[in-house]
Amino acid sequence: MAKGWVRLAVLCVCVFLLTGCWDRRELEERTSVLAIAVDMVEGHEGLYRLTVQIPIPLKIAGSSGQGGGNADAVKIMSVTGRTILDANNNLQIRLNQKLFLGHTRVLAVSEEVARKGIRDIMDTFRREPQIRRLLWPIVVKGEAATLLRFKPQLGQIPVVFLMDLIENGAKMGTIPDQTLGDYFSQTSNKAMQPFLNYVEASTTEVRWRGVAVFSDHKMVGTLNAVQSWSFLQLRNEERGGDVIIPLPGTNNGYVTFRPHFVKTRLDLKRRKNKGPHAAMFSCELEGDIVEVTAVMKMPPEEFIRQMQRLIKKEMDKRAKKLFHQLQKEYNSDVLKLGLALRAHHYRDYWQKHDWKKDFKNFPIDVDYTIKIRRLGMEMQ
Amino acid sequence: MGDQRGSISTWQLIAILISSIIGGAILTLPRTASAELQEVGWLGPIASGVIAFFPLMAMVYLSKQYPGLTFVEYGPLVFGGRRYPRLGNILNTPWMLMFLLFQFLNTAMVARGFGEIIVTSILLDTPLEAILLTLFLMVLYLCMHELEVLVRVNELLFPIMFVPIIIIPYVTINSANWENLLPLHIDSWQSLASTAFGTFMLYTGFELMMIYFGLAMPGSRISLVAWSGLSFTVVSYVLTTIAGIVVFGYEELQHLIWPTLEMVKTARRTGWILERLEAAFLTIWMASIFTTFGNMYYSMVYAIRLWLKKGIRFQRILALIFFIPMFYVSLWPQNIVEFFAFNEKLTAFCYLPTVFFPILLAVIQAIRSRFSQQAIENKKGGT
Repeated sequence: MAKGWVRLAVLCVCVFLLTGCWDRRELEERTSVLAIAVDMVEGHEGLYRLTVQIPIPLKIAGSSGQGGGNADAVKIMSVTGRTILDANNNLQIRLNQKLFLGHTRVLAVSEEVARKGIRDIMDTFRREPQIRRLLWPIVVKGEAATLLRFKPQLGQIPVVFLMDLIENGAKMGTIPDQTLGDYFSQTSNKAMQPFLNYVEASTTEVRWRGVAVFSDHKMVGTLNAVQSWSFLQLRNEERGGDVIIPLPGTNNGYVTFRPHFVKTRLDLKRRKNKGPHAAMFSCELEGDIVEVTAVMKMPPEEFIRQMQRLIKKEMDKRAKKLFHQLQKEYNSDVLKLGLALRAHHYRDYWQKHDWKKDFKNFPIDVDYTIKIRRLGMEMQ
Repeated sequence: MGDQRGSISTWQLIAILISSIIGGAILTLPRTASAELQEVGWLGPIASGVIAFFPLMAMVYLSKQYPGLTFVEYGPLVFGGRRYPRLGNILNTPWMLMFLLFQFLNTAMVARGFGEIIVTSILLDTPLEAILLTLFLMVLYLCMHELEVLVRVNELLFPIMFVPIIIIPYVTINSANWENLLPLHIDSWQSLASTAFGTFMLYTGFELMMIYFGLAMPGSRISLVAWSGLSFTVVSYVLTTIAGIVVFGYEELQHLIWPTLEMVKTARRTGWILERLEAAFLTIWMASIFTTFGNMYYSMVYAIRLWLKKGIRFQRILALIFFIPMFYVSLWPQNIVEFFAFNEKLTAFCYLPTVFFPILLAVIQAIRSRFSQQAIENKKGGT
């Protein structure tokens, strides 16, 4: 009898389990979207234009062997809609296979859309379980679709090219690795504001231009590359790009400093435990001199000392300009100062102040320490 | 019946306890714990663990007083004493029913929660019923067997539980922002208490020990089981909560319906074989939810079997009979919001059978043993 039951149960389990997946879908029965671009439609308030980039697997595989010139390995499609999903559905009815967003790696948003606010766009991306929190949202100067249309001669698929550009930049510490998940967390967090990468694209090229600063889902301004590097050093302890400074007292002479290691400490001390709170960034840059384009006639010890002073002055100046922009022009705390204040001065500061209003006039200062370690393969 | 009693070892008991406790609730834990406590959300699971500590200790005490007996058998003895077994039976029956009702509802909700996760995140087009049905059939198959099979299944799947608990903090440390954990402040003790009471459902499953302590091998170390099982669970819950807060910050956590799953999705490490870790993790969680669900269903049926003193055939038929109403109840909540609301109500109810009942029994037993000791002493004095 017991065996009979067992057999029946096994049979039932098999019947239900061995039928395969309910929503089984083969890989080739899907249209994978690699990148999405969102633009405004000119003349139509409230309409979005969605552009997607779809790789054509056959062309990618074939072209390497045959060297078939510059055949397009991707298909670009554009649709309009009132919301992102509306546009998405309009796209679906033009496609033979089901759209699949699980491989989407880049979400390009035009500056116009970003300035208008992207809360409503992001809602879809929050709800859709296929969307990876690791994809990169990017703000594009001008039309976002150009970022998908550009033809990099060094690679077949524009998005892969762009991804490599960001990935390598993130590895080198020159481009922030700002993912969708980071953006979500930063917008939810009451103590900081989000930022995104800002790029410019033409028909053949793409270029990183710095970061776009947001305030409550709305883009409020940009930081150029040089300032973004200062920003990265202070916020993320990333090294940033090379620092190129004209040498004083020379004719067209420049010195280039390449930071290798960054250590940033943020102090939120009150003066004598009484005065108002103030933030003090202490940033230590360790690096090499990689280029000097003028002949410097001085002892090496003196040279190092002078260069350190020069670079420190320049970095301090850059950081001050950054603070000025963030505080006075954009009024957006992308530096995560609020988070540190809330974490370490909850009772004595955070509860008594409205950070969104206070950030503007909060005293922030910076003190760079430059440590030149090497001079490359040259003696001086 | 009874031939497999006294066969569960200490290690197996630990496996059963931990697998019964850790289930689907870990997937929502970082959100529920930090909803009120914010940055110090990790205090929530500690506080609710403290609540679970008392009934667990009561169970240990009772099992030491009545070694080799389950609560089905010692319940009437505690209530009525050896002299009035009828009275004991009558007094025990409502508690017994309440216990069974809670097991029934909780099992249904565990299954539903599991189904919801699968449907919202992976198999979007699969009907919920199909997922529930496969799970139910698996457990039904489990119920067709004697106790040893259940014990072995728990023992076998137990090591898997360690994987997410160790790996989650490890993979998330990359995207961690430690300042999210600060400041260490408790604005109101009330919010700590309400979080503790509200997240107590995390620990349900420990009440099954009222049965399994009684089936333990003679000489197995029951208090060690209780201690190690509870502390392991508390530690893993705290680690998961901390990881969630550190990665997302408590504000973002409130937006996420399955934060632990989302956390695994953000994990990124070069050199991992799997690009998408969440699939691997869901498999592991599937195992842990299966053990929770299986243990609860099995114990419910097994308790009735013990109660009515029947054999394995009765158990098989009963498991089949329960299948239909259980399936029905698990589909009660019409949407995800109702599901969470239902769970809240169930949490309020769970205190009666899981906390109050064992403590009540232990208190009565303590009083009873004191009196009988006095009686013995009095007799001694008399002679």
